[in-house]
Amino acid sequence: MDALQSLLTGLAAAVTPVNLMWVFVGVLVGTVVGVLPGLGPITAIALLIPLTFGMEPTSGLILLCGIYYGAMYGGSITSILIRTPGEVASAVTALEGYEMARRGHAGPALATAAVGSFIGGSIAVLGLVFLSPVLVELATAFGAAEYAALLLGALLLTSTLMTGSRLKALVSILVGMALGVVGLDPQDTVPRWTFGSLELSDGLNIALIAMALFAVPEAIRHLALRERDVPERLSTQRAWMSREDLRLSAAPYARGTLIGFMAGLLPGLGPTLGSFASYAVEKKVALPERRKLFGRGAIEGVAGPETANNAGVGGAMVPMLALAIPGSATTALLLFVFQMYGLQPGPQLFTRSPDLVWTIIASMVIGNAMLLVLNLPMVRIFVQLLRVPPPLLYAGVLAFTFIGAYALTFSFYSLLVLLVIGLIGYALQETGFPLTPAILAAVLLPLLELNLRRALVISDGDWSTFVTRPISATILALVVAAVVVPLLLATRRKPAIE
Amino acid sequence: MRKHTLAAVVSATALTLAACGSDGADSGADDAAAGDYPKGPVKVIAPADPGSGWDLTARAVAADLAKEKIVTTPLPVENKPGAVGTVFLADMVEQQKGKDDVIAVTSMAMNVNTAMGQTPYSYKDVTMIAALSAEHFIVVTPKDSPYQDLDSALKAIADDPGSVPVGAATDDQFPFSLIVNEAEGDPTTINYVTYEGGGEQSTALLAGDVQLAIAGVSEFLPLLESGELRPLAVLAEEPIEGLDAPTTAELGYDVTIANWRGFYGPPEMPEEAVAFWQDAIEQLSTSESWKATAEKNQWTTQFMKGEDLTSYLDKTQQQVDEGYALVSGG
Repeated sequence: MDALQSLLTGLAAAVTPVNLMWVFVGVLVGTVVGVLPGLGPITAIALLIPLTFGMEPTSGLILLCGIYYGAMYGGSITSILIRTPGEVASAVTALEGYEMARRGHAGPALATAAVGSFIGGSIAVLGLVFLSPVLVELATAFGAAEYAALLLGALLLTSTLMTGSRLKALVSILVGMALGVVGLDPQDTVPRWTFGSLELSDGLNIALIAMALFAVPEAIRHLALRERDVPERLSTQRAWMSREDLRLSAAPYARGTLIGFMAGLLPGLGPTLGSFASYAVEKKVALPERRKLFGRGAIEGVAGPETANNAGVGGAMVPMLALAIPGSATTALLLFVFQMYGLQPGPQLFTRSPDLVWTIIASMVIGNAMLLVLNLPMVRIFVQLLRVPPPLLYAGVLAFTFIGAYALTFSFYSLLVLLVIGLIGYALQETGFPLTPAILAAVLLPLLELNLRRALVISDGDWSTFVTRPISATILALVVAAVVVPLLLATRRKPAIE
Repeated sequence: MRKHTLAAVVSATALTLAACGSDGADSGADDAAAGDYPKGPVKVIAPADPGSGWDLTARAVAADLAKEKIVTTPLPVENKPGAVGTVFLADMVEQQKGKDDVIAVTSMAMNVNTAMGQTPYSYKDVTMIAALSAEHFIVVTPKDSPYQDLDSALKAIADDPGSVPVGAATDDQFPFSLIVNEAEGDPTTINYVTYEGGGEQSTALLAGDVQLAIAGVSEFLPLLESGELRPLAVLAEEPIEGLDAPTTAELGYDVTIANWRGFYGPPEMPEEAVAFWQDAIEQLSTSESWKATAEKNQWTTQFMKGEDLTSYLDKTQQQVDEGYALVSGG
């Protein structure tokens, strides 16, 4: 009850005209940077920090938090319309969202993304308000061994869900792995696949890989087709979700909120894992006739991940506010801003500056509502983009991704990487290799390796650490039950099919 | 239509930001040095991603220099990330020679890169302008850890190094190795777990993955203040104000290496420009704006230029080389 009262007081403080304005500016800038590939919330917040020095702490923090969750909204728009994820967390949205758009369902995809983001974002804030004390315990219960077990589970789960040729999916995973291991190895800083290049020793930016494997091959394909006119099915886009769409999205909203919030809580993983895991879960629990639609525009595959990545923002705020532990580069930056204002996040923050904290939390509820109101009417306008003749649209997409790639490092090296990986991606796509497994591998395998090796260094090389630690053992048991057993059963049932 | 409006907001914001640097451009009276340098904007390079330590330093310094009207021409901050600054260092040496319109942030990582052979260049290949601040290293442990002091932790490492993982970023492993070496332990046997920085280390400490970690003081400040972490030793000669922690000097270990931060310019940077920036940074180091910035970030202001800086860098390089030799067992 206490928390509820504080939240209401915070709401009252947040609805002053000035604060409302900053919420609005924040979510607007956030949406824009989310849309622009390469320009993520981190860059936007870093650029705006000097501007907030002169502002009231409350206003400044409201603005910067607004950018953070606003970017999660914006990222879905380009993913769905032109298969160009603005940031990694929305790469998953491109899987089903873009397929929906290709089939004249861009409107429902955008709408479900906006509604899901609102639900995920708002419920996560409530979770942050009421469950923080309990959840903090959870956030610190996970060590490297637990992360490794969790990531192994996520990877196995997603890879068993691939459709089509197993062999081709496996090759794609290997390509993703190869891209993911480029750079200094995370434990002993030994260079791998860097060919002596300093730039490559930093590793390949995951957002860059996502752009190169999603946006570039698709754009080249369309340009190579030499289509002059907009295909019939694209020119008639439905603008809103049907009752059926809404019904299909409801359960993914709920599951996405839970998965995203939990993944956000864990400081080592952040929102990205949440959206990937949500996608895998949606596909796993889908009824057989719906599961067939995955990869061909299943609305559940948009609703779940989009809800999850916004819920992840609320989740990531828990360890940041309550323990001063940043779960991602963006929260690390927000942490710095708190400190710049002389506010020390941590267990005492809620007692020392309650007004400020509750106002910010309340502003997040308001901001999410604003984003919904802002985004839904825009769906109608955004889908018009698909009426642009293909040569213009895809030339634009290429230009857009190149600008985004340049913005990642401010050097031409990124453009070269984008082009090389993009051409590899095009070659793979045209020869029938699915590219999604490559992205999954590029995102998840480096994280798995990092935590696996850390766990082993910590245990001094003793592999039993994974089964002697209770949480890790439980996760592994679940993984075996959920992934390995069905796989074995399936292999036994139908021996030589495919 | 809407998209255009959004784009306009963004570019307007960018313009406002750029304009921040030029506030009060007409009041040239406070110019740090005589002469008409700088005539135009001077780029301040943060050779790392937005939000990193170097980036925040660059932005804070550029903002404070403008606020104090020490520099009145625009100071656009640019990010040139890549391999812990070595990508831009190479660019500075190879492409910017003799220029006067670019300076970059750097730190002890420069010494580390050289020691590890990550770059053929060192601080000797560029114009070192000035050091502005230093951040001390601190060794911490969770509040309920078995280690009551640094000596008991070092003893545990000496007894069974494998069972005592020590969390540290690559750059921060050297100072800890130097301490173990002073304690006559064998630094090559230390079981280091590599983390990216304080955030990851804090998580690992609270989760019980590691019982010992070393990083810059500011990285652990929130959790030290809340009592979740205990300081075992801060690597310094003098106690740090506002921090109840024994210094290595008090404990009898002569390891007081600190992470300095400063600025460098291109090789053969014109003397007028070097003098201007040395002067500007010196003025900044005693200004009110900078004091506030430094206090918020727990940076100890430590201004050095000229001979002092050179001998400090030589000494640091020697210690880092020594530390790296200890870590790698060479």
